[in-house]
Amino acid sequence: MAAPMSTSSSDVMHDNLNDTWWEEFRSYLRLLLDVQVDPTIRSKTDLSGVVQQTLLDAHQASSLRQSPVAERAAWLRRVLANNLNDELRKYRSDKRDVGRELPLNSCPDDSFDHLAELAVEGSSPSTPLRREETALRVAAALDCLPAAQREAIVLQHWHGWTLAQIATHLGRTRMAVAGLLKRGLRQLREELRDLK
Amino acid sequence: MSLSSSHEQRLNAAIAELLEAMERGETLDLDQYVITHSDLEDDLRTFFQDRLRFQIAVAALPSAKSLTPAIGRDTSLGTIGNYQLLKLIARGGMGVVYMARQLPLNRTVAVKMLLRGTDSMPDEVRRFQTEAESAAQLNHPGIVPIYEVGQHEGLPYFSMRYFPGGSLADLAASGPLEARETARLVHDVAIALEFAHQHHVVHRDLKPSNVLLDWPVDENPSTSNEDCTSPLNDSDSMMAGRAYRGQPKPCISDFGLAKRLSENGDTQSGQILGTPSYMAPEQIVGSSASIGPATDIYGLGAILYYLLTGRPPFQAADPFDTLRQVCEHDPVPPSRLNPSTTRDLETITLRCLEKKSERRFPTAGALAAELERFLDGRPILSRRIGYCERSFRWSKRQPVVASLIVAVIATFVAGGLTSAYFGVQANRRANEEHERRRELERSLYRSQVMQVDLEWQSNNVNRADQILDSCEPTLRNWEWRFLKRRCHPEQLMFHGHGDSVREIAYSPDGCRLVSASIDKSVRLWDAKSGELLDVWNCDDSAMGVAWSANGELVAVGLENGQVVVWNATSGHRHLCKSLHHGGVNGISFHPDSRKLASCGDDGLVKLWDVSSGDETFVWETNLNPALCVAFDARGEMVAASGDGNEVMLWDTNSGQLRQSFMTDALTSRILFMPDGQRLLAADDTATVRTLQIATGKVLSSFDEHMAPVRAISISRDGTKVASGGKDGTLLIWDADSGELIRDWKAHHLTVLGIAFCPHGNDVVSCGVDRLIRVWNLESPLVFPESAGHTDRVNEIAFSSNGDLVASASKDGTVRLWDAKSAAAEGTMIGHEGMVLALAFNQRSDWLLSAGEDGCVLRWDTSSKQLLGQVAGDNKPIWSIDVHPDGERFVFGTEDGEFQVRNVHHGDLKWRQLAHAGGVKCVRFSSDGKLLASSGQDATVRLWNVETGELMRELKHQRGTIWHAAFSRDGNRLASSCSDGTVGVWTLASGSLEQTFIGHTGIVYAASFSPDGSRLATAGFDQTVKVWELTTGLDLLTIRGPIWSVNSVAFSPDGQSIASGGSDSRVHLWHAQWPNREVAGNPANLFLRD
Repeated sequence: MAAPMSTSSSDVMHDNLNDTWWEEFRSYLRLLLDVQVDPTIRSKTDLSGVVQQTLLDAHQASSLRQSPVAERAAWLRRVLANNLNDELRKYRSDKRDVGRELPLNSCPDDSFDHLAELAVEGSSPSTPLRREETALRVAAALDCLPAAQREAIVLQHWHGWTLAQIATHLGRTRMAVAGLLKRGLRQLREELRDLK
Repeated sequence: MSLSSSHEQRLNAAIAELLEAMERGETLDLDQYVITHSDLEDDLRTFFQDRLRFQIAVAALPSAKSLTPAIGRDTSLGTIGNYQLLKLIARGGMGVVYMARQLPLNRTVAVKMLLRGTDSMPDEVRRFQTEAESAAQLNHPGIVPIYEVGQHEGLPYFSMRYFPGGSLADLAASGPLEARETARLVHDVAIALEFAHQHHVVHRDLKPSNVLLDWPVDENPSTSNEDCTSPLNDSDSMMAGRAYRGQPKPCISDFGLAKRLSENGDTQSGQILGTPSYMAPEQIVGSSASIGPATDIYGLGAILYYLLTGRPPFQAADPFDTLRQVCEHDPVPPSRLNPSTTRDLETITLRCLEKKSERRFPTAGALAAELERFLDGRPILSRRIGYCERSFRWSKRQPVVASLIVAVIATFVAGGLTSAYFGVQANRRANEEHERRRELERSLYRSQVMQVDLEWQSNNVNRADQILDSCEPTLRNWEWRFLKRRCHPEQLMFHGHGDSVREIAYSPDGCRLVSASIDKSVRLWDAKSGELLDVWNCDDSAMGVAWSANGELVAVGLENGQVVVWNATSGHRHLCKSLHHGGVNGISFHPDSRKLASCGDDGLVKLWDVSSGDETFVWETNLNPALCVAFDARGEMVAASGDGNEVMLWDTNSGQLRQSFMTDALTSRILFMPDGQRLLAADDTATVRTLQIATGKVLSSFDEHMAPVRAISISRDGTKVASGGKDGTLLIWDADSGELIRDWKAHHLTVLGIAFCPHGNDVVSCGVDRLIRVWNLESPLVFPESAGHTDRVNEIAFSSNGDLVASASKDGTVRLWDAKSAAAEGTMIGHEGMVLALAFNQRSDWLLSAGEDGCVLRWDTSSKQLLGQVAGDNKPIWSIDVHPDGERFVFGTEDGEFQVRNVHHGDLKWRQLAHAGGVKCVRFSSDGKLLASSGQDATVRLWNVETGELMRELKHQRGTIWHAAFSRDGNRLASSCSDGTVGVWTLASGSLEQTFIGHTGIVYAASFSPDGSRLATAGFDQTVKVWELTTGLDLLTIRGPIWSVNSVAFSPDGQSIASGGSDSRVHLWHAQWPNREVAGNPANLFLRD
């Protein structure tokens, strides 16, 4: 079990040019979306579909498999931004029909503007390769957590939500959320033990 | 255990306390804190170390904060090549446009980049590059110059001059321009366009936003890009608050769809190019050859129109309606929208917008000259056309086109199917115009039918229905009616609400319905006819509705916190009272009709008197908000649920809390089961649970929904539950066993309300699609109607009057079924071993069956009695048919021969060794003159029935011919083969007319529709396919059970297809509603306003 951990994920991806290299990015893309999209509209949009579409696009872009991880990640982020854009547009056109079920103050436009910029931001040549690997590892580790723990961590860390907000969102008490954070971070420590 | 769990609790509380202190902005002093919590010290330190470790690790990932918009920050967006990106200007279909600084030159430019890699969208990339290249070679002051074309990380981009002054679209956004100014601007654009045309470049997407404005620099120095050092100032300067003075010079940009006249064009890529409101008709329905300079003249006309009126010539809510208008309608004359429009300029504009390109100005130069005449005050040369003449001329000239457009548009909506259109278009360019159109129509029709099937499968029933409605009426046939019926399984559908219908309730007598909608209205309907009886308007959106048990009152909860009570008979407002802060989410009548319970966003649940409005009890809850209230059948308890994962029950007499328990998820709907012992709770995890009231224990869970459940209802006797939600389905299931009874695709998007009719077997549902649909539980159980043997069905046949279907099965029986309901009519047992074949006589008063045992038995179809054995002692018989004269029959055996015998005494008339390896099929033609036989030797042979002479040999396919079917008119024969093909032969010449390729395994059977336009086939690949004879293409593939389909037949009236297969069942696929007398278009019967 220590073996796959000790190999850098970029090595794995360089050496193993099989047909499913993009699968390594699934957790990463999922996390990007969770970080980007307003949690209150997440359930209204097909985010897993966006990830799937992006990976499908990656599958069709055969030349990508030769590229370094950073380039692939940059490419995927860009396509992800575009696909998310499409999905959110669909969401907005549905909004009328869904009637009053949606929080009207949520503004999806912001989140994909951010993402588009993110796409460009990541293309800076000074970006260390290392960064992408770490990001992939963290994303994968987060994906191993029970859903509620992952959600609590994402909401607190990336969205800056308060315990009370997370508690409402998850339908639990604030103490229970503290427990989720505690257990989640503990497991992440184990998963990412070799990272630094 | 208890010690450690209490330790965990205390630790969690401490973490929460510390985190919340940090949230408030206090600094964390852990050392201080642990003095008073020494036993937690280690764990707390571990937690904060874990937290820090995590924060360091995720520094690699983008943080939400670092992603705030660039405006207001002094960091750049990054770089592309030599360009430092400053601001996102626009985002188009596939690309983005940035304002950027070109570093070595330090000039501000616009950079346009495609957001897809070269691999995923080659069409896009090609178009993008065409844009860059064609624009780059045009050096004209009226055309936006391209500086550089390049690639960045595999993504193509180009840079061009940056125009801070906006476009023509901005210019007229606030209102029409003055006529002379309009003429001047368009004149300049026309001059530039003429230049492009002379260089063989057509723009193809001219519209106001593509004509950028170059304002005189000296009059407003701060607009000069080169003077601007800070990108932030510049980014703010776009149009807002900046007064541009002087006369702007127009500059054409975005040759995104440009096409070199010399090239062939790229329409075969199957993409529609252009912007609906500004597209020329030939871009929608013409061949690619007809797109040329005249298309741009049309674009200039559209720009003229926009500048004169402030709106494009055609504009509908839906882009596809816009396309239709472009092709079918004449634009509203500009003078009607802007009375100050001069007659001459209007004439010029409308001439540009002519549907026929020949009637427009011949060149952009000619238009420029005409505008010049106008500007100089000279008479213009264009002649005006009267409007009546126009419309008449157009519709008369293009009758086919007009209907075709509808089809094209629907296909666009369907998405991704345009290639069929353009593929055919490309092939037939040289052919006769009319034939081509007809072919196109067929091709489109097929695309539409296939799309309908897809939409239906993905639960977009409304979409499917819309596409069906747009299908060319003259092409509609069985498949259309079949799909239409499949889209309308409901008993009745009525609409009238202008927005989502939130809840619906029956009157206690079941005769009326009341619906509450977000459109601020409550509507009263006749439940049987769907007739709208009354409309009650509300001050705000209606959230919920309830009908009192005595039938007298209807109560509605509104989003503004009011509850309104109406007298259901008189329609008078009985009471209107503000009861909640925020919305009233749930409302319910006490069984005595004198009290009401309501709950709202404020988390309060109230019990109050209907006549006085006095509040009997007000209960505070942790529900935030409280979503639903319900009384038990005797009115002793009221239950409430909502966000907060809690269900609470109170005693309605004492007001005491009787019970409260936590649930696993947000419970959006709650109801008492009639026994008063159990609750039914629907929650956000797509589950409906039965809970024991005394304990809160989950007794059972119903998990068939795919998305959160929003509505539930229990039948009066408590045996059935109806549920619906965000998956759009309405499921009816057994309350005790959870067994699914019905599964209806009820509403597009979400089902919001459901109610069982107090009497009878109706259920009503409403949803976000604004529709109300009434369903009947007695309607056929599964779709299609089906009935079963105990083993494989080998052959099925319709009686000639179409009332019965007979089936021959491996289980040794022949069975008869009602051809409409699939109800069993009788079982005939007599064969030893499996029954392989059967055939009715012409009058259908008897039928013959034959099987493995080599016997032929004759049965009376009314008494189901055996009339006698008419042949025996043969090898297994694979096929049998009765001659139209009713005196003779033929059967084919495994040893390769067929025999013709007398029906009554079985005398042999003729025997023929016909097919080596076995005869698979024998059939008489409907006029009785020909006998077709087919078999293992891959051949169909046609015999003269009277002389026994071999007339023809049909041989082309490779494999056993399992079935041969005559068309009713006797002109054609279809042969289904084990190689997966179906051959269609012209009998007059004996030539193979077409080969249908589509099945992926043995084709066991084929049957012509009575009108001869369709062929149904079935086979090993578990499908029934319906083919169009004219095109030879499959229109519809019906996937039934996952078993081989062995036999298929069209009913004599052409309304149904029966199939039988290895699933042991007979399926009836009806294209007609069985229980309804339908006159005219059945679809319209259910639509009423």
